[in-house]
Amino acid sequence: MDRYQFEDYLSDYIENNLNPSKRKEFEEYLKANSSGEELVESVRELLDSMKSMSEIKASSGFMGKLHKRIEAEKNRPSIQSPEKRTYLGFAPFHLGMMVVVLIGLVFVGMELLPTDGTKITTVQPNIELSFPPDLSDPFPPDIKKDEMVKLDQDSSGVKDQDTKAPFDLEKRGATFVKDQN
Amino acid sequence: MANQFQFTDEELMARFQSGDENAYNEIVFRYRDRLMNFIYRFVNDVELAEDVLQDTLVKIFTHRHYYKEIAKVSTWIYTIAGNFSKTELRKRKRRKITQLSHMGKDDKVYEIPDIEREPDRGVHVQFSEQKIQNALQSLPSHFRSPVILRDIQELSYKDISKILDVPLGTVKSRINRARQQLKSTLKE
Repeated sequence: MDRYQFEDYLSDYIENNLNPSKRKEFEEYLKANSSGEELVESVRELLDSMKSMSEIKASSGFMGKLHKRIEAEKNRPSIQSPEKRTYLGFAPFHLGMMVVVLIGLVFVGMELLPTDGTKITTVQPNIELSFPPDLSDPFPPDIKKDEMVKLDQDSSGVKDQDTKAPFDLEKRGATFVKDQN
Repeated sequence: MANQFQFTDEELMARFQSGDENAYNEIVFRYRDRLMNFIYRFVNDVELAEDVLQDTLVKIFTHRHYYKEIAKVSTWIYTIAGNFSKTELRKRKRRKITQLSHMGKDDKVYEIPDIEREPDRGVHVQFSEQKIQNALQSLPSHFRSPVILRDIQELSYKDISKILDVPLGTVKSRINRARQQLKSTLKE
């Protein structure tokens, strides 16, 4: 054990908190170093003196002053339990969060608005469908009316639906014209 | 009033939180002198210690709902007292610096001893106590409070660690170093 370790273990030794092996090591150091023994004794004396120091008491008028202050505090409206304190019916934390979110939304909204006075327009795709004039027959030419009825009956099962789509517009000659404007 | 000594501090606090002011009076009765002693040893001024004690006890009254039973009442009370003491010392230091900066060349500071407020003690004991009290003031506050709580208030290391909100090992090492520092100051 060196001097630093000895000083580290000093209080534990005095308060009897060292394990037996450390205690033995400590006592061996004490035997070999008389200055160590002196330090232990003087710290022990200091602790005894501190324990026997007289107790300082509050003055006789202290309780009177305290009760006066307590009465004054009671009349102050700010004394509330943390659970009961609400603003507009909300707890301070929740109200704060709401205000922050609201300010954030207003800020983001203002950032998105144009500042030079231009009118906002939305661009929509203009798709026109044109059909050849002979579409008076609702059934496609390659499917018979009986087959359509059969397909309707089988509509609960989906396995064949994709193979024979009855209203394939492109099959029926429809063309898509995309408006370039 | 029922005999309040049948209640633990925590039970008294619960009663006080539900509106029983007698429970508060009992808490004050139990802690008043202990706290006064702790605060005085820390700030080294009887009047200031009394002010801090009053602030502490008023805060216990006004902030009673902030106490949760997860901690010991004593820990909570000592934490409040310790914080107030540190704040007051800081304020006093600042005031002293301001006063000194406003002093003229010929101004002198006279300290008038308050004999009336000195606690009643024998001459020999007073001398050694005063020496210890002065030596305590020479310690930095992070050494002073744990050593007062341990060696004068006789609290456990665990409680001191909770009051000061520092790890147990740190508390032990600070107390150990504070004792050695006190011993060397007293030897000088």
